[in-house]
Amino acid sequence: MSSSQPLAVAAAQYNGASQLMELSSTQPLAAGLYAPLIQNNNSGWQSGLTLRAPWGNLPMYVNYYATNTNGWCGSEQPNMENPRIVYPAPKNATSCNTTPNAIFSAGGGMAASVNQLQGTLNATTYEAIATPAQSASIPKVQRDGCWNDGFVIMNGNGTAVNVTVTLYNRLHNSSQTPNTIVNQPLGPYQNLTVLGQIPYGFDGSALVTADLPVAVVANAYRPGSAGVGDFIGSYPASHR
Amino acid sequence: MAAVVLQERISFLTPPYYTMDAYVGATTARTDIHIPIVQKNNSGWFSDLFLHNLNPQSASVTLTFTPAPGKGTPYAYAYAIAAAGNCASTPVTCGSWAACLSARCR
Repeated sequence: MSSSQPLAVAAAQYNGASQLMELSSTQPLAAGLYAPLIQNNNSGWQSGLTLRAPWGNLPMYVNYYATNTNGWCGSEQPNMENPRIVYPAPKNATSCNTTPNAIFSAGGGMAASVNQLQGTLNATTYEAIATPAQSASIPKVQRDGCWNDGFVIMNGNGTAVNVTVTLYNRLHNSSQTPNTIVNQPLGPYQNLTVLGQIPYGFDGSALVTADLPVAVVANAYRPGSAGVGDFIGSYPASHR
Repeated sequence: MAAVVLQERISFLTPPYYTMDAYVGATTARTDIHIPIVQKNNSGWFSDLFLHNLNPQSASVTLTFTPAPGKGTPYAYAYAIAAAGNCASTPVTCGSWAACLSARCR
């Protein structure tokens, strides 16, 4: 999509009344993209990747990293024509655990989305992150009887970083806000899931800070809604 | 400021079907945007595109669709979006991307 004026774009994908996936134009083209959360048959969840490059049929690479291997757990090269699809992801990296992260690399700028599907029930997608940052904001973090939100922090650097997670109560009426719930090193190419650290009953936002750029993807998750259906929404945090 | 949009829908099927997804607000508008995947009746999947021109000038926009290998031919459409206007497409009801966008740009 090209325009004479700068635009903002949202794209939705839907399958009947049962599945919805959405993304927005938050990520510029980049030669390196970061996917903090890949679901590798994780409780029935499976990820798929779609990569697109405007510059033609040059090779792209996907490298996976996992905590169970303490680092690299495999790689693959998508097909050479746009759009380049990897499904399931990982396809060939059999030593990865159920929630690896991934780095996409190419000789020029590209955009990519990470779809996550749980059979024909849940579906969500997020844009792979082009610009990791030392600060990332998650606008909605809620854990209660309706929501079980969390997020995943990825260190795509070759050295360890120290990451801090601070929660801000929505109403600013609690002695518990701001509340630092994570302050720990994160090894090279490792990811950290922040879910159980969030106190039950919390309703607000979160700020991730680090001493090197990190990539963060958030999951808005609403289990146990009325009826059956599609309960999860993934999106990149707002990286600054 | 950071913002996230949650969209929730409960259908009136039996049993009632709940669907939800989220996207984060764009902090930077751009003139060159690549959507990695757009679907039109691909195993039941469809896509909608929503374009917002934030500027006090009208925008000349070209959408170029590149098919997956063996799944059609590339095509492009040009549109004008008014100052502070927007475009939306819903190919389920319009039948084609061109009809959707030309009918609903303002």
